[in-house]
Amino acid sequence: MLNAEKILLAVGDVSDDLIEAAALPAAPVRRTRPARRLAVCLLAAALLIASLATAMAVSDGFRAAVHAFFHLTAVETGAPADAGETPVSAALGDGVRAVYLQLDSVRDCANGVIRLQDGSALALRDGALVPVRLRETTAAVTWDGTVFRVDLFWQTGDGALALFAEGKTAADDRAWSAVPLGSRTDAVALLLSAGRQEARRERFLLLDLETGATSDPLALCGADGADFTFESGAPDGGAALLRRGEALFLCDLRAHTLRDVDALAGAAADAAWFVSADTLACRIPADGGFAVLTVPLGGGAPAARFSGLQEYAAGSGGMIFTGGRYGLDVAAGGSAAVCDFLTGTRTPIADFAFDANAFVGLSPAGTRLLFARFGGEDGLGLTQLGLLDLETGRFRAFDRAAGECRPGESLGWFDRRSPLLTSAGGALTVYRFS
Amino acid sequence: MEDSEIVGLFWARSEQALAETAAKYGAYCRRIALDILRSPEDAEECVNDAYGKAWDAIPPHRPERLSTFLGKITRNLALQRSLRGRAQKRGGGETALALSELEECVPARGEVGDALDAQTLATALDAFLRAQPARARRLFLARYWYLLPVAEIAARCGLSESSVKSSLFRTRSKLKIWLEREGFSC
Repeated sequence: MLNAEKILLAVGDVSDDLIEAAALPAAPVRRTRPARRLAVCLLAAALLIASLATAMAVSDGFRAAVHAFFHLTAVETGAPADAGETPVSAALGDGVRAVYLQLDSVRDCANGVIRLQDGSALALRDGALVPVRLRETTAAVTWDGTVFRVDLFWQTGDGALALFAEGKTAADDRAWSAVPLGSRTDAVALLLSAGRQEARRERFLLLDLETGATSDPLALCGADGADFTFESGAPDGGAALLRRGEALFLCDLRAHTLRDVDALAGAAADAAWFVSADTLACRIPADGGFAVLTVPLGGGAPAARFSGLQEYAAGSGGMIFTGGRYGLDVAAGGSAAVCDFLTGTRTPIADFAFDANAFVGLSPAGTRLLFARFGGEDGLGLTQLGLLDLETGRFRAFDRAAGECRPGESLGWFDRRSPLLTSAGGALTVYRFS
Repeated sequence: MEDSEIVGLFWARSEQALAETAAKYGAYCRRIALDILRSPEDAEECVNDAYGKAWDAIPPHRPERLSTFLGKITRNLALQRSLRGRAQKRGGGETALALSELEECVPARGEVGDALDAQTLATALDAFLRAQPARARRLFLARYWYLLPVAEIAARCGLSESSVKSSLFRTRSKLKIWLEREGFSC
């Protein structure tokens, strides 16, 4: 038996309380996807969340002292048995409806566009599926002795890019992907990678969608890009957050400057993310917990926003960092509050309890929190789904009838505002919250 | 139904115990198995086997926490299945990757002895993990107990992959020193 096997097996016998505390909130991901593809999707989602988090202004509604949780009495019972390829809509009350789609050859979805296996694409408009044309950009990039042949498809709509972009080379551990850079529709971040997991290396380039030309932002800053990995893009696409080892750097894509985030924050940050186009939030480990401060990128002193935070763990609660402007602070008993890292405000959610089977995630537009509760027997075991609109403070959730709804395979976002549940056989459910 | 009542059904040899276990902890066990095996069919078989193991173990066992008792059985069965797949050159997925990462923890002066009692190693690991910062401990167990891919841990924790990797690297480095200091080498 291998030594590492002994350690791995022995890890299985550590104390129950450690195992319970390590249980992570369920993630809205396709569990059966290959890891590389999953990583690309998660990266894209994180980028969208970070880059678009503060695109919309905070309304008066959000400034209310408390968010109200409203548990709808309607229960989702799934698509009608005779539903064909025409979308079917079912009202769940209070401005919430489920739109059921059945397509035989769904490949993937991005920002409201559904790509089919044959390369064609559809969009859901006014309750009907309409064909849309995807544009194609190709490029050949050489890095680390390998030629990466990039072939990506895209479309602009809803104010953001719908991007389908990932591929492999002949070498098994070499891949490329592209992710949107905030609201930019002229260029995307092209990420080349080699190696897996701990040994993974990455190269960050800019790819012009019209011409297919690439440029090296780090070289323009006078830096060697070999050791950097891409973290996220600013909401306006004017800057990118990069990492080299444990150090974070801010790369200004217009002024061609590279700045150390620790120097900007005046403290050692273990994580950072954009909370607006011109503001970066930095997480600072301190006193066994974390403080969060914001850094104005145009100049000025950092501002303390929160302190004494603990990262969320089942049972003991803590902060769920969503990668965007808002986080969910959960108390040990399950009561929760939305924290706005940009302003430092904390808004409790009335009549709501979070638990180990619950999940929250921020929308690509950064203005809605998806809430899901798991525990059922089928597929993801999704038993409850809801959405907190951070602009209006409305938090609506409904139950799903056990055994009647199609078992879910993945939960995520259909577009910038609407949750999407995918099921086996090309069944998609888009949830619209007015 | 309360855990104590379910355990009572096991002790009474009532098959209702299995139905209640499946109803309360089926999704939890399936999630553990699916995260390790990445195959719904394999995960389902593994969970059913776990119920059988629990039936055999209770009585005489009376678990304090039924959830982690079932979770440990499920994890062990899923891991064994994954290791068998690796031995049969079927890849091994996250298990193979996790093993290659843990190779870094093996003390340099020798091997973890064959005669080593697994429970002794588990006890040492327990003490080691309790000495680590809460976040590092949580990330380590997410990777090596739940066998989640780094990207998924990062997404679930709201961290970057780089942060997760850095933390895992540091913890593994500390573990190697800890194991050497505790005498886990020939």
